Amino acid sequence: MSPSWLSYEHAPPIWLPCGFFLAAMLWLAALAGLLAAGDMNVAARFHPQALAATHLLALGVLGNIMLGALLQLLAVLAGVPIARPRALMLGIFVPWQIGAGALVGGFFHGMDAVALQTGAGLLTLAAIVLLAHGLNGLWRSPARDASSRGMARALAGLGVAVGLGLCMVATLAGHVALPFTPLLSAHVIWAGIGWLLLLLIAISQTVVPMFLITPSYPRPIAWIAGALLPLLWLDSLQDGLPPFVGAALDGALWLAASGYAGLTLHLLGQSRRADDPARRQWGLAMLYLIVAALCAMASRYAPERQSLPLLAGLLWLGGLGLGVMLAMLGKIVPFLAWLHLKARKPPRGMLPSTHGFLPENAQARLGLTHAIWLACGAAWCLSPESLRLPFAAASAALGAHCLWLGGKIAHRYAQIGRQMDEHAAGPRQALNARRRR
Amino acid sequence: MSAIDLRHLPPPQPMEVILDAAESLPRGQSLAYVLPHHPAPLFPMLSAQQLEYRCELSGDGGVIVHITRP
Repeated sequence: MSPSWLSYEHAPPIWLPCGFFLAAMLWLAALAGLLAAGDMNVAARFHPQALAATHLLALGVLGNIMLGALLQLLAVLAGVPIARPRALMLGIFVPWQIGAGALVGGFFHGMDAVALQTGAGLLTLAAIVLLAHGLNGLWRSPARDASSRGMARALAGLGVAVGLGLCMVATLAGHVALPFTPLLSAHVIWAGIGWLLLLLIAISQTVVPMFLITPSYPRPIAWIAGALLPLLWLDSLQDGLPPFVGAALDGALWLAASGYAGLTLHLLGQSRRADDPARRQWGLAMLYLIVAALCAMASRYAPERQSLPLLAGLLWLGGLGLGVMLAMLGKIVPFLAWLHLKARKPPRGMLPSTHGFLPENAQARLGLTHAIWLACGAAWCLSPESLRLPFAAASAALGAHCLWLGGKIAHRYAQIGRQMDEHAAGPRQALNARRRR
Repeated sequence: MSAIDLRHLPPPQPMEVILDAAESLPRGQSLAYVLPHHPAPLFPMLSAQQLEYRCELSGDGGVIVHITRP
Protein backbone atom coordinates (compact mmCIF):
# COMPACT_ATOMS: atom_id res chain seq x y z
CA MET A 1 0.00 0.00 0.00
CA SER A 2 0.96 3.60 -0.46
CA PRO A 3 2.79 5.17 2.47
CA SER A 4 0.39 7.50 4.27
CA TRP A 5 2.78 10.44 4.08
CA LEU A 6 3.22 10.27 0.30
CA SER A 7 1.09 13.18 -0.82
CA TYR A 8 1.08 15.67 -3.66
CA GLU A 9 -1.02 17.97 -1.48
CA HIS A 10 2.24 18.87 0.27
CA ALA A 11 4.00 19.68 -3.00
CA PRO A 12 5.37 23.24 -3.10
CA PRO A 13 4.22 25.66 -5.80
CA ILE A 14 5.98 24.95 -9.07
CA TRP A 15 7.91 28.23 -8.98
CA LEU A 16 9.82 27.16 -5.86
CA PRO A 17 11.85 24.21 -7.26
CA CYS A 18 11.87 25.69 -10.78
CA GLY A 19 13.29 28.98 -9.44
CA PHE A 20 16.30 27.07 -8.09
CA PHE A 21 16.64 25.10 -11.35
CA LEU A 22 16.58 28.31 -13.43
CA ALA A 23 19.22 29.88 -11.19
CA ALA A 24 21.41 26.78 -11.68
CA MET A 25 21.27 27.13 -15.46
CA LEU A 26 22.18 30.83 -15.23
CA TRP A 27 25.15 29.93 -13.01
CA LEU A 28 26.22 27.36 -15.59
CA ALA A 29 26.23 30.06 -18.26
CA ALA A 30 28.17 32.30 -15.85
CA LEU A 31 30.89 29.61 -15.65
CA ALA A 32 31.67 30.43 -19.29
CA GLY A 33 32.22 34.08 -18.39
CA LEU A 34 34.42 33.18 -15.41
CA LEU A 35 36.62 30.89 -17.50
CA ALA A 36 36.85 33.39 -20.36
CA ALA A 37 37.74 36.26 -18.05
CA GLY A 38 40.37 34.27 -16.13
CA ASP A 39 44.01 33.83 -16.91
CA MET A 40 44.83 30.55 -15.13
CA ASN A 41 47.73 28.98 -16.99
CA VAL A 42 48.76 26.17 -14.67
CA ALA A 43 46.89 23.11 -13.42
CA ALA A 44 46.52 23.84 -9.70
CA ARG A 45 43.46 23.00 -7.61
CA PHE A 46 44.18 25.82 -5.14
CA HIS A 47 44.67 28.52 -7.77
CA PRO A 48 42.12 31.25 -6.86
CA GLN A 49 40.44 30.93 -10.25
CA ALA A 50 40.19 27.13 -9.94
CA LEU A 51 38.61 27.66 -6.49
CA ALA A 52 36.19 30.19 -8.01
CA ALA A 53 35.19 27.76 -10.79
CA THR A 54 34.85 24.86 -8.30
CA HIS A 55 32.58 26.86 -5.98
CA LEU A 56 30.56 28.22 -8.90
CA LEU A 57 29.90 24.67 -10.06
CA ALA A 58 29.35 23.25 -6.55
CA LEU A 59 27.21 26.05 -5.09
CA GLY A 60 25.73 27.87 -8.07
CA VAL A 61 24.96 24.96 -10.38
CA LEU A 62 24.75 21.75 -8.31
CA GLY A 63 23.78 23.48 -5.06
CA ASN A 64 20.75 25.15 -6.63
CA ILE A 65 19.54 21.97 -8.34
CA MET A 66 19.99 20.02 -5.10
CA LEU A 67 18.15 22.61 -3.01
CA GLY A 68 15.22 22.79 -5.44
CA ALA A 69 14.98 19.01 -5.72
CA LEU A 70 15.37 18.52 -1.97
CA LEU A 71 12.53 20.93 -1.10
CA GLN A 72 10.28 19.15 -3.61
CA LEU A 73 11.21 15.65 -2.41
CA LEU A 74 11.03 16.53 1.28
CA ALA A 75 7.44 17.63 0.65
CA VAL A 76 6.30 14.80 -1.62
CA LEU A 77 8.36 11.82 -0.46
CA ALA A 78 8.69 12.56 3.25
CA GLY A 79 5.52 14.64 3.76
CA VAL A 80 7.37 17.72 5.04
CA PRO A 81 4.89 20.48 4.24
CA ILE A 82 5.99 23.92 3.04
CA ALA A 83 3.65 26.23 4.89
CA ARG A 84 5.23 29.48 3.68
CA PRO A 85 7.01 28.95 0.37
CA ARG A 86 7.76 32.67 -0.11
CA ALA A 87 9.48 32.82 3.29
CA LEU A 88 11.52 29.76 2.38
CA MET A 89 12.47 31.35 -0.94
CA LEU A 90 13.54 34.49 0.91
CA GLY A 91 15.41 32.56 3.59
CA ILE A 92 17.24 30.10 1.34
CA PHE A 93 17.22 31.19 -2.30
CA VAL A 94 18.20 34.83 -1.86
CA PRO A 95 21.13 34.40 0.57
CA TRP A 96 22.32 31.33 -1.36
CA GLN A 97 22.60 33.26 -4.66
CA ILE A 98 24.21 36.35 -3.14
CA GLY A 99 26.48 34.22 -0.92
CA ALA A 100 27.61 32.03 -3.82
CA GLY A 101 28.26 35.14 -5.93
CA ALA A 102 30.29 36.78 -3.15
CA LEU A 103 32.31 33.63 -2.48
CA VAL A 104 33.04 33.01 -6.17
CA GLY A 105 33.93 36.69 -6.66
CA GLY A 106 36.12 36.62 -3.56
CA PHE A 107 38.11 33.65 -4.87
CA PHE A 108 38.32 35.03 -8.39
CA HIS A 109 39.70 38.37 -7.18
CA GLY A 110 42.60 36.76 -5.34
CA MET A 111 40.94 35.67 -2.05
CA ASP A 112 39.26 38.99 -1.23
CA ALA A 113 38.64 38.66 2.53
CA VAL A 114 35.51 40.84 2.74
CA ALA A 115 33.82 39.04 -0.18
CA LEU A 116 34.73 35.60 1.21
CA GLN A 117 33.40 36.45 4.67
CA THR A 118 30.19 37.92 3.21
CA GLY A 119 29.72 34.85 1.03
CA ALA A 120 30.39 32.36 3.81
CA GLY A 121 28.05 34.21 6.19
CA LEU A 122 25.15 34.29 3.71
CA LEU A 123 25.62 30.66 2.67
CA THR A 124 25.65 29.64 6.34
CA LEU A 125 22.42 31.58 6.87
CA ALA A 126 20.76 29.82 3.91
CA ALA A 127 21.99 26.42 5.14
CA ILE A 128 20.64 27.07 8.67
CA VAL A 129 17.18 27.88 7.26
CA LEU A 130 17.27 24.74 5.09
CA LEU A 131 18.47 22.53 7.96
CA ALA A 132 15.83 23.93 10.30
CA HIS A 133 13.12 23.25 7.72
CA GLY A 134 14.40 19.86 6.55
CA LEU A 135 15.61 18.22 9.75
CA ASN A 136 12.71 19.52 11.83
CA GLY A 137 10.26 18.31 9.18
CA LEU A 138 11.91 14.89 8.87
CA TRP A 139 11.92 14.51 12.65
CA ARG A 140 8.14 15.09 12.75
CA SER A 141 7.41 13.08 9.59
CA PRO A 142 6.19 9.48 9.89
CA ALA A 143 8.36 8.62 6.84
CA ARG A 144 11.15 6.21 7.74
CA ASP A 145 11.96 4.95 4.25
CA ALA A 146 15.48 4.83 2.80
CA SER A 147 15.14 8.10 0.88
CA SER A 148 13.87 10.04 3.91
CA ARG A 149 16.64 8.68 6.16
CA GLY A 150 19.14 9.44 3.39
CA MET A 151 17.93 13.03 3.04
CA ALA A 152 18.46 13.51 6.79
CA ARG A 153 22.03 12.18 6.46
CA ALA A 154 22.73 14.44 3.48
CA LEU A 155 21.39 17.48 5.34
CA ALA A 156 23.72 16.64 8.22
CA GLY A 157 26.55 16.40 5.68
CA LEU A 158 25.67 19.81 4.28
CA GLY A 159 25.68 21.29 7.79
CA VAL A 160 29.18 19.93 8.49
CA ALA A 161 30.53 21.03 5.06
CA VAL A 162 29.19 24.57 5.47
CA GLY A 163 30.45 24.77 9.06
CA LEU A 164 33.94 23.70 7.96
CA GLY A 165 33.85 26.23 5.12
CA LEU A 166 32.92 28.98 7.57
CA CYS A 167 35.80 27.96 9.87
CA MET A 168 38.23 28.14 6.92
CA VAL A 169 37.10 31.62 5.93
CA ALA A 170 37.34 32.75 9.57
CA THR A 171 40.88 31.29 9.71
CA LEU A 172 41.89 33.02 6.46
CA ALA A 173 40.54 36.31 7.79
CA GLY A 174 42.54 35.88 11.01
CA HIS A 175 39.51 35.76 13.33
CA VAL A 176 40.52 32.31 14.62
CA ALA A 177 43.68 30.22 14.38
CA LEU A 178 42.62 26.74 13.31
CA PRO A 179 44.79 24.15 11.48
CA PHE A 180 43.97 25.00 7.89
CA THR A 181 45.03 21.87 5.95
CA PRO A 182 42.91 19.37 7.95
CA LEU A 183 39.97 21.78 7.71
CA LEU A 184 40.40 21.95 3.96
CA SER A 185 40.60 18.17 3.50
CA ALA A 186 37.55 17.67 5.71
CA HIS A 187 35.59 20.41 3.90
CA VAL A 188 36.24 18.76 0.52
CA ILE A 189 35.15 15.26 1.54
CA TRP A 190 32.12 16.45 3.53
CA ALA A 191 30.92 18.59 0.63
CA GLY A 192 31.64 15.99 -2.06
CA ILE A 193 30.60 12.84 -0.19
CA GLY A 194 28.71 13.94 2.93
CA TRP A 195 26.36 16.25 1.01
CA LEU A 196 26.48 15.44 -2.70
CA LEU A 197 26.96 11.66 -2.70
CA LEU A 198 24.72 10.96 0.29
CA LEU A 199 21.91 12.95 -1.33
CA LEU A 200 22.42 11.10 -4.63
CA ILE A 201 22.31 7.74 -2.82
CA ALA A 202 19.11 8.79 -1.01
CA ILE A 203 17.33 10.03 -4.11
CA SER A 204 18.49 7.29 -6.45
CA GLN A 205 16.83 4.64 -4.25
CA THR A 206 13.51 6.19 -5.24
CA VAL A 207 14.05 7.57 -8.73
CA VAL A 208 16.17 4.85 -10.38
CA PRO A 209 13.62 2.01 -9.91
CA MET A 210 10.70 4.37 -10.56
CA PHE A 211 11.88 6.26 -13.65
CA LEU A 212 14.34 3.82 -15.19
CA ILE A 213 12.29 0.67 -14.45
CA THR A 214 14.90 -1.31 -12.60
CA PRO A 215 14.62 -3.67 -9.63
CA SER A 216 14.98 -2.02 -6.21
CA TYR A 217 18.47 -1.47 -4.82
CA PRO A 218 19.70 -4.55 -2.96
CA ARG A 219 20.49 -4.58 0.76
CA PRO A 220 24.18 -3.50 0.46
CA ILE A 221 23.07 0.04 -0.49
CA ALA A 222 21.92 0.47 3.13
CA TRP A 223 25.33 -0.73 4.39
CA ILE A 224 27.11 1.75 2.10
CA ALA A 225 24.85 4.65 3.11
CA GLY A 226 25.21 3.72 6.78
CA ALA A 227 29.01 3.33 6.60
CA LEU A 228 29.74 6.61 4.83
CA LEU A 229 28.96 8.96 7.75
CA PRO A 230 31.25 7.20 10.30
CA LEU A 231 33.93 6.89 7.61
CA LEU A 232 33.66 10.61 6.92
CA TRP A 233 34.10 11.41 10.63
CA LEU A 234 37.12 9.12 10.91
CA ASP A 235 38.64 10.46 7.68
CA SER A 236 38.20 14.04 8.94
CA LEU A 237 40.28 13.21 12.01
CA GLN A 238 43.10 11.46 10.13
CA ASP A 239 45.52 14.37 10.60
CA GLY A 240 46.89 12.95 13.84
CA LEU A 241 46.97 9.35 12.61
CA PRO A 242 49.80 7.46 10.86
CA PRO A 243 49.78 7.98 7.04
CA PHE A 244 48.87 4.35 6.31
CA VAL A 245 45.71 4.71 8.42
CA GLY A 246 44.79 7.86 6.48
CA ALA A 247 45.39 6.04 3.19
CA ALA A 248 43.23 3.12 4.38
CA LEU A 249 40.40 5.48 5.39
CA ASP A 250 40.58 7.32 2.07
CA GLY A 251 40.55 3.98 0.27
CA ALA A 252 37.53 2.80 2.27
CA LEU A 253 35.63 6.00 1.42
CA TRP A 254 36.33 5.78 -2.31
CA LEU A 255 35.59 2.04 -2.26
CA ALA A 256 32.20 2.64 -0.63
CA ALA A 257 31.42 5.36 -3.19
CA SER A 258 32.46 3.05 -6.03
CA GLY A 259 30.28 0.31 -4.49
CA TYR A 260 27.26 2.59 -4.92
CA ALA A 261 28.28 3.17 -8.55
CA GLY A 262 28.70 -0.58 -9.10
CA LEU A 263 25.27 -1.37 -7.62
CA THR A 264 23.66 1.34 -9.75
CA LEU A 265 25.37 0.10 -12.92
CA HIS A 266 24.19 -3.43 -12.08
CA LEU A 267 20.59 -2.20 -11.74
CA LEU A 268 20.80 -0.09 -14.91
CA GLY A 269 21.86 -3.23 -16.74
CA GLN A 270 18.49 -4.75 -15.77
CA SER A 271 16.46 -1.69 -16.78
CA ARG A 272 13.41 -2.30 -18.97
CA ARG A 273 14.13 1.06 -20.60
CA ALA A 274 17.38 0.23 -22.39
CA ASP A 275 16.91 3.07 -24.93
CA ASP A 276 16.06 5.75 -22.38
CA PRO A 277 18.64 8.57 -22.72
CA ALA A 278 18.41 9.13 -18.95
CA ARG A 279 19.61 5.56 -18.38
CA ARG A 280 22.70 6.23 -20.51
CA GLN A 281 23.33 9.49 -18.62
CA TRP A 282 23.07 7.69 -15.26
CA GLY A 283 25.39 4.94 -16.47
CA LEU A 284 27.99 7.44 -17.66
CA ALA A 285 27.72 9.37 -14.40
CA MET A 286 28.51 6.21 -12.42
CA LEU A 287 31.57 5.57 -14.60
CA TYR A 288 32.69 9.18 -13.97
CA LEU A 289 32.37 8.48 -10.22
CA ILE A 290 34.66 5.46 -10.47
CA VAL A 291 37.26 7.33 -12.57
CA ALA A 292 37.09 10.32 -10.20
CA ALA A 293 37.73 7.99 -7.23
CA LEU A 294 40.73 6.48 -9.03
CA CYS A 295 42.11 9.96 -9.83
CA ALA A 296 41.65 11.04 -6.19
CA MET A 297 43.48 7.95 -4.93
CA ALA A 298 46.23 8.31 -7.55
CA SER A 299 46.77 11.95 -6.60
CA ARG A 300 47.63 10.83 -3.06
CA TYR A 301 50.57 8.83 -4.41
CA ALA A 302 51.59 11.26 -7.17
CA PRO A 303 51.21 14.71 -5.59
CA GLU A 304 53.40 16.27 -8.28
CA ARG A 305 50.71 15.56 -10.89
CA GLN A 306 48.53 18.62 -10.24
CA SER A 307 46.06 17.74 -12.98
CA LEU A 308 44.86 14.62 -11.11
CA PRO A 309 42.98 16.31 -8.24
CA LEU A 310 41.62 18.89 -10.67
CA LEU A 311 40.36 16.08 -12.90
CA ALA A 312 38.92 14.20 -9.90
CA GLY A 313 37.01 17.32 -8.86
CA LEU A 314 35.67 17.97 -12.35
CA LEU A 315 34.56 14.36 -12.82
CA TRP A 316 32.94 14.31 -9.38
CA LEU A 317 31.07 17.60 -9.66
CA GLY A 318 30.62 17.98 -13.40
CA GLY A 319 30.51 14.32 -14.44
CA LEU A 320 28.74 12.53 -11.59
CA GLY A 321 26.80 15.42 -10.02
CA LEU A 322 25.78 17.40 -13.08
CA GLY A 323 25.34 14.27 -15.22
CA VAL A 324 22.82 12.69 -12.85
CA MET A 325 21.07 15.98 -12.19
CA LEU A 326 20.57 16.85 -15.87
CA ALA A 327 19.23 13.33 -16.45
CA MET A 328 16.73 13.71 -13.61
CA LEU A 329 15.73 17.29 -14.45
CA GLY A 330 14.76 16.01 -17.91
CA LYS A 331 12.31 13.64 -16.20
CA ILE A 332 11.15 15.71 -13.25
CA VAL A 333 10.61 19.22 -14.69
CA PRO A 334 8.23 18.03 -17.46
CA PHE A 335 6.47 15.84 -14.86
CA LEU A 336 6.05 18.81 -12.50
CA ALA A 337 4.63 20.91 -15.35
CA TRP A 338 2.23 18.09 -16.25
CA LEU A 339 1.23 17.50 -12.62
CA HIS A 340 0.46 21.17 -11.92
CA LEU A 341 -1.64 21.49 -15.08
CA LYS A 342 -3.37 18.18 -14.35
CA ALA A 343 -4.41 19.51 -10.94
CA ARG A 344 -6.40 22.21 -12.78
CA LYS A 345 -8.55 19.42 -14.30
CA PRO A 346 -8.04 20.17 -18.00
CA PRO A 347 -10.64 18.96 -20.54
CA ARG A 348 -9.89 15.62 -22.12
CA GLY A 349 -7.20 15.77 -24.80
CA MET A 350 -5.90 19.23 -23.94
CA LEU A 351 -2.99 18.15 -21.74
CA PRO A 352 -0.17 16.35 -23.59
CA SER A 353 1.94 13.66 -21.95
CA THR A 354 5.18 14.63 -20.22
CA HIS A 355 7.02 13.81 -23.43
CA GLY A 356 4.96 16.55 -25.08
CA PHE A 357 6.86 18.96 -22.82
CA LEU A 358 10.31 17.48 -23.46
CA PRO A 359 10.76 14.66 -26.01
CA GLU A 360 13.32 11.97 -25.30
CA ASN A 361 15.45 12.97 -28.30
CA ALA A 362 15.85 16.45 -26.78
CA GLN A 363 17.04 14.79 -23.57
CA ALA A 364 19.49 12.68 -25.61
CA ARG A 365 20.93 15.79 -27.30
CA LEU A 366 21.37 17.43 -23.89
CA GLY A 367 23.28 14.34 -22.74
CA LEU A 368 25.58 14.72 -25.75
CA THR A 369 26.19 18.42 -25.02
CA HIS A 370 27.05 17.50 -21.44
CA ALA A 371 29.49 14.78 -22.57
CA ILE A 372 31.24 17.26 -24.92
CA TRP A 373 31.38 19.85 -22.11
CA LEU A 374 32.95 17.30 -19.78
CA ALA A 375 35.50 16.25 -22.40
CA CYS A 376 36.47 19.93 -22.87
CA GLY A 377 36.70 20.29 -19.08
CA ALA A 378 38.93 17.21 -18.78
CA ALA A 379 41.18 18.59 -21.53
CA TRP A 380 41.33 21.91 -19.64
CA CYS A 381 42.42 20.08 -16.46
CA LEU A 382 45.32 18.55 -18.38
CA SER A 383 46.31 21.70 -20.26
CA PRO A 384 44.69 24.81 -18.78
CA GLU A 385 47.07 27.19 -20.56
CA SER A 386 45.83 26.26 -24.04
CA LEU A 387 42.33 24.81 -23.52
CA ARG A 388 40.66 27.39 -21.27
CA LEU A 389 38.66 29.06 -24.03
CA PRO A 390 37.27 25.81 -25.56
CA PHE A 391 36.05 24.87 -22.04
CA ALA A 392 34.51 28.34 -21.68
CA ALA A 393 32.76 27.95 -25.06
CA ALA A 394 31.49 24.46 -24.09
CA SER A 395 30.17 25.88 -20.78
CA ALA A 396 28.33 28.63 -22.66
CA ALA A 397 26.87 26.03 -25.04
CA LEU A 398 25.73 23.73 -22.20
CA GLY A 399 24.22 26.63 -20.22
CA ALA A 400 22.43 27.96 -23.31
CA HIS A 401 21.17 24.46 -24.20
CA CYS A 402 19.72 23.97 -20.70
CA LEU A 403 18.10 27.42 -20.73
CA TRP A 404 16.63 26.80 -24.19
CA LEU A 405 15.09 23.48 -23.10
CA GLY A 406 13.81 25.05 -19.87
CA GLY A 407 12.33 27.90 -21.92
CA LYS A 408 10.59 25.40 -24.23
CA ILE A 409 9.00 23.63 -21.25
CA ALA A 410 7.93 26.96 -19.72
CA HIS A 411 6.47 28.11 -23.06
CA ARG A 412 4.48 24.87 -23.46
CA TYR A 413 3.27 25.13 -19.85
CA ALA A 414 2.09 28.71 -20.38
CA GLN A 415 0.50 27.84 -23.74
CA ILE A 416 -1.56 24.98 -22.28
CA GLY A 417 -2.43 27.08 -19.23
CA ARG A 418 -3.83 29.80 -21.53
CA GLN A 419 -5.83 27.22 -23.50
CA MET A 420 -7.31 25.96 -20.25
CA ASP A 421 -8.16 29.51 -19.17
CA GLU A 422 -9.87 30.19 -22.49
CA HIS A 423 -11.78 26.92 -22.27
CA ALA A 424 -12.90 27.70 -18.73
CA ALA A 425 -13.87 31.25 -19.68
CA GLY A 426 -15.89 30.06 -22.71
CA PRO A 427 -19.03 28.76 -20.94
CA ARG A 428 -18.95 31.66 -18.46
CA GLN A 429 -18.86 34.20 -21.28
CA ALA A 430 -21.72 32.42 -23.00
CA LEU A 431 -23.70 32.44 -19.74
CA ASN A 432 -23.05 36.17 -19.22
CA ALA A 433 -24.15 36.87 -22.78
CA ARG A 434 -27.41 34.91 -22.18
CA ARG A 435 -28.02 36.82 -18.95
CA ARG A 436 -27.53 40.13 -20.73
CA ARG A 437 -30.13 39.09 -23.32
CA MET B 1 -11.62 -8.41 -17.10
CA SER B 2 -8.20 -8.52 -18.76
CA ALA B 3 -5.60 -6.05 -17.58
CA ILE B 4 -4.00 -3.59 -20.01
CA ASP B 5 -0.22 -3.94 -20.07
CA LEU B 6 1.46 -0.53 -19.83
CA ARG B 7 4.98 -1.80 -19.24
CA HIS B 8 6.16 -0.71 -22.69
CA LEU B 9 5.50 2.96 -21.93
CA PRO B 10 8.25 5.22 -20.56
CA PRO B 11 7.60 6.59 -17.06
CA PRO B 12 5.61 8.55 -16.07
CA GLN B 13 3.31 7.90 -19.06
CA PRO B 14 1.60 4.86 -17.43
CA MET B 15 0.52 7.14 -14.60
CA GLU B 16 -0.82 9.68 -17.09
CA VAL B 17 -2.77 7.01 -19.02
CA ILE B 18 -4.29 5.58 -15.83
CA LEU B 19 -5.31 8.97 -14.43
CA ASP B 20 -6.92 10.00 -17.72
CA ALA B 21 -8.92 6.77 -17.88
CA ALA B 22 -9.81 6.83 -14.18
CA GLU B 23 -11.27 10.34 -14.44
CA SER B 24 -14.07 9.17 -16.71
CA LEU B 25 -14.63 5.84 -14.97
CA PRO B 26 -18.40 5.38 -14.20
CA ARG B 27 -19.61 4.34 -10.75
CA GLY B 28 -19.33 0.63 -10.04
CA GLN B 29 -16.89 0.08 -12.92
CA SER B 30 -13.29 -1.13 -12.67
CA LEU B 31 -10.06 -0.89 -14.65
CA ALA B 32 -6.93 -3.03 -14.44
CA TYR B 33 -3.41 -2.28 -15.63
CA VAL B 34 -0.13 -4.19 -15.56
CA LEU B 35 2.79 -2.02 -14.44
CA PRO B 36 6.49 -2.79 -14.03
CA HIS B 37 6.54 -1.99 -10.30
CA HIS B 38 4.38 -1.06 -7.31
CA PRO B 39 3.05 2.39 -8.37
CA ALA B 40 3.25 4.12 -4.99
CA PRO B 41 3.19 7.71 -6.42
CA LEU B 42 -0.09 6.94 -8.21
CA PHE B 43 -2.07 6.02 -5.11
CA PRO B 44 -2.48 9.48 -3.52
CA MET B 45 -3.79 10.72 -6.87
CA LEU B 46 -6.34 7.91 -7.05
CA SER B 47 -7.39 8.53 -3.45
CA ALA B 48 -7.87 12.22 -4.25
CA GLN B 49 -10.43 11.15 -6.88
CA GLN B 50 -12.26 8.92 -4.35
CA LEU B 51 -11.17 5.83 -6.30
CA GLU B 52 -10.45 2.48 -4.65
CA TYR B 53 -7.44 0.42 -5.67
CA ARG B 54 -5.70 -2.81 -4.91
CA CYS B 55 -2.57 -4.50 -6.25
CA GLU B 56 -1.55 -8.06 -6.97
CA LEU B 57 1.54 -9.61 -8.55
CA SER B 58 1.20 -10.37 -12.25
CA GLY B 59 3.36 -13.49 -12.01
CA ASP B 60 5.84 -12.31 -14.66
CA GLY B 61 7.65 -9.64 -12.66
CA GLY B 62 4.97 -6.96 -12.87
CA VAL B 63 2.17 -5.64 -10.66
CA ILE B 64 -1.53 -5.52 -11.58
CA VAL B 65 -3.35 -2.52 -10.16
CA HIS B 66 -7.16 -2.72 -10.03
CA ILE B 67 -9.02 0.59 -9.83
CA THR B 68 -12.71 0.89 -8.96
CA ARG B 69 -15.06 3.84 -8.63
CA PRO B 70 -17.39 2.86 -5.77
